[in-house]
Amino acid sequence: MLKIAPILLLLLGFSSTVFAQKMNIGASQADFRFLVTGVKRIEGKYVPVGLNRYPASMDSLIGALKKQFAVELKKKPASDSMQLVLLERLSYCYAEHPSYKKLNYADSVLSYEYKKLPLARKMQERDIASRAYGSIWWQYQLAKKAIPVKVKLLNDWINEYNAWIKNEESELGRGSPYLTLANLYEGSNDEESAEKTVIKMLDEAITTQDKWMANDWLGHFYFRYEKKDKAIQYLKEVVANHPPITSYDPAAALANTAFLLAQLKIEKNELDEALALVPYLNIANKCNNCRGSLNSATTEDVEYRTNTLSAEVFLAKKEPTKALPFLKKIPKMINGESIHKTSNPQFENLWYQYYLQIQDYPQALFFLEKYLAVVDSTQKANKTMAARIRKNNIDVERNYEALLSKEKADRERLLQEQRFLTLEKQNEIEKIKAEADKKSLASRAEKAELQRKIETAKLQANAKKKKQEQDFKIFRLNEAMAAQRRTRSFLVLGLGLFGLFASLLFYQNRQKQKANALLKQQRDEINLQRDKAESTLHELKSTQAQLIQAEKLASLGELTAGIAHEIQNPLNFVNNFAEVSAEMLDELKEDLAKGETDEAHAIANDLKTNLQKITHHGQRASSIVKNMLEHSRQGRDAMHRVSTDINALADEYLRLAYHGLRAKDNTFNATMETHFDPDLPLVSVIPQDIGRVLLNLINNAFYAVHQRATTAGAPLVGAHDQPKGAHMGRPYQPTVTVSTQKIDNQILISVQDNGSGIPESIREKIFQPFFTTKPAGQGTGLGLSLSYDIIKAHGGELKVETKEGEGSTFTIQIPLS
Amino acid sequence: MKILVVDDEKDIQALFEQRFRKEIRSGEMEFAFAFSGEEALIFLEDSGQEAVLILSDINMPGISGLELLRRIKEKYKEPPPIVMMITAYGDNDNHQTAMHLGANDFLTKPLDFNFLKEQLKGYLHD
Repeated sequence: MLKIAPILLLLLGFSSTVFAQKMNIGASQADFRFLVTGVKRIEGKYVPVGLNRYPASMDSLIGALKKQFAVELKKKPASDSMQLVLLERLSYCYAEHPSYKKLNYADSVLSYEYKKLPLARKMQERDIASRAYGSIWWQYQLAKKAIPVKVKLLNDWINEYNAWIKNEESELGRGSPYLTLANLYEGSNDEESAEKTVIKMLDEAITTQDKWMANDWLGHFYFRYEKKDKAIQYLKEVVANHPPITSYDPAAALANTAFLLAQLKIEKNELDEALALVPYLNIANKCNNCRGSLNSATTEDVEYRTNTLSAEVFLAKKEPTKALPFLKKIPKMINGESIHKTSNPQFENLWYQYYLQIQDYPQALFFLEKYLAVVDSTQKANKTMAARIRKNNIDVERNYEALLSKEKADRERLLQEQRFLTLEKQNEIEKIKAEADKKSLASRAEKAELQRKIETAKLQANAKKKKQEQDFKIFRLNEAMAAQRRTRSFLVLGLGLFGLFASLLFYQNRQKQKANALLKQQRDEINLQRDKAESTLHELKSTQAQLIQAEKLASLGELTAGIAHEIQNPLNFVNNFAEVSAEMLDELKEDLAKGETDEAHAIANDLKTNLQKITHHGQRASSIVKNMLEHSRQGRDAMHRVSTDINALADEYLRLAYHGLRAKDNTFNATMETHFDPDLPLVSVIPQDIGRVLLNLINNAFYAVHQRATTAGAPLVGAHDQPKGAHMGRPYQPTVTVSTQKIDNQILISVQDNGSGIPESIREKIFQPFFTTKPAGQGTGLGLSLSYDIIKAHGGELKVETKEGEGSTFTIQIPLS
Repeated sequence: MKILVVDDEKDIQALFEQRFRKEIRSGEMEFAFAFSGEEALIFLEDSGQEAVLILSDINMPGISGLELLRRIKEKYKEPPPIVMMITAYGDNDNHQTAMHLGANDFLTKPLDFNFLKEQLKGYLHD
């Protein structure tokens, strides 16, 4: 299918001028626009244009053409040229018919082409006959005909072509049937026949153009099969004896060939010869007709090749200062794509060699590592390249293998060179490690400080409470003592020592006053202390409430973006259906005025459906808002247990969490899987609380897989540190799975991720308050601790199973009764 | 010309059929709908690339719109269908990615249907 590109172009070469000169049949020129513009080539891509005319007019067009054909045949004598043009158009109409496949129009196309062929021969219309062959070939390809059948057709085409070209030395040749045949052979793994076909073409070629095309094909062919000396021999011929360049395609082909030849010359260390090829890269700029086809992409490509080649040559000559200006000018993007996608990882390699030559080892190391990373990920790039190569009819697999083995060898060599640089590298790594240690030490110290503060506050509160109790005891003790004293005073009085009465009374009074003063002082002190203790306790309680609220708000914040996305969709529907309904009402009025009651009824029915849709999506939006409000609601009394569909709840929070993260960070991506037990009974829980737990666990799971995905894409140097399975074989696919299940008298909800797992050393701490592995400011460290408390309050359990490098599963168990 | 609309919201079908009812009635446009990337690929496979214009949402469960775009552009080349991407997140990265993958256009929700109609007609009459 892909090998047809040149033939398709040939068909399109059927230019509008041919029609303009030779045609004047009944249908208007506009109806035939598609014949000329059915497919347009824009910047190397085929773009369909004008296809809208097909469904409406294709059949009527065919009808008109057939009628015209019948009229023409009745004429005595019938015009051959008119017949030819009509046949050609009919064939094209059937080939491009929208129901081409369904109605098996291939046969119609072929029958018109076979009628065209003898007529074209008789008329000496070489172009039309050649197009007929091209068209038949295309139909054969579409029908996947057997190779011998195709070979026969192409040989017929070649013979016919040779019969015509014999006496026309001045004419530019069209060797395409030879090359099509060679490509067909090569595509069916018969390289020998492919080679023979093009060598025959070269022998039989009369025109410069044909010789040139044959040489070019052979040069590339030998290059593909690693026969480099032969490749150089033919490619040299291509550059030395090219026909005058008058259009873009040959200019581009010549530039390609020059670039390839230069690469081969560099390999052979014929550096000056390589440098002499640089001007050819820019050949399209020197031909006036080509400029129209030049765009930023092709200009960037020329720039890339010119500078890469020059830099390569000077580096090979060990002249880094001369290479530098070219290195600097190598563009990093071609047509918006990174050069790594379009070429070998030359860029880093060249910089690496440059720095090596000027003995700047740290920089050399930097680019070496980058280069290795790129080489490592070229498997993907190679696939893209293979796809490009396939497009050019090249035997992909072999070339790909060759490319791969060359890169492997390069890598081997580079790894060896890398060993020389180990010392610098280790120093660098040590430095980074030391810094990282320092940082983690600082954050650990911060956390410890926070915990210490809280502990101190708790201790203070306890101490104050104790002191308050003690003070109260003292107060009661003092009161008892005062009472004793009073009793003793009365005893003395009872002894009748009246003389002493006044003084005693005075004394007693003074004592009492003293005691009272002391008591008052003590009471004040106690009150003060109690107030202080109470306010501390209150402060602690409100801090705790604030922390819980902060965690709720944090999780709400995580939800907001998801909610916005979820709400936007129904709102769009409401707006759209409302708008379209208004338009339809106008139509309804018009229909009623015209008395078209059937139409009016139909519109009225549609309007009713629309109103239902508006209501439905309005409710959808308001239920999202309701859930959001419930999520952030405060206070115990707002929370009560209700029978809840856990599957729906889990699904809702999974979506919200995903969209929330997706909206915040667009590099985030993960597969969500759900395994919901369809027979799960309703469970009596506080849905907001369980929702919060789910959100927490799901967010953690996404965080874990995202972390791993980010490290999985890390450069080669860290490859051995990666989790098992991430670097070999399949690429890592971050996945979060939520499943529900009823077992005995309880339900299980599990949130599973294939992230990097929880290291043994912190497994015990994850449910502790304020424990977090996220960078400072990104996590409150309360999520899992609150989740744990919530599940406990439901009489259930929250458990974790984890394996380092494979992932974690958090399981919630909730009893049913 | 057939336009394939890919979106996980099923009501998108009713909406498009009403928004474009005049164009559908006159035969100017013909619509097909797929509710996931997978369905879209199956449709294209079955219909032999009958659709030449594809409108796809980016955020869908399963195959995302971007992945769908990549596969379409990889598989259908001669001639490649026109693919317009639609997203609720009009962020620059999505835009860049879609354009690199060969999207012909990039629209942001909420869709301006009048604008979309103009765009589609532009492609149709190009």
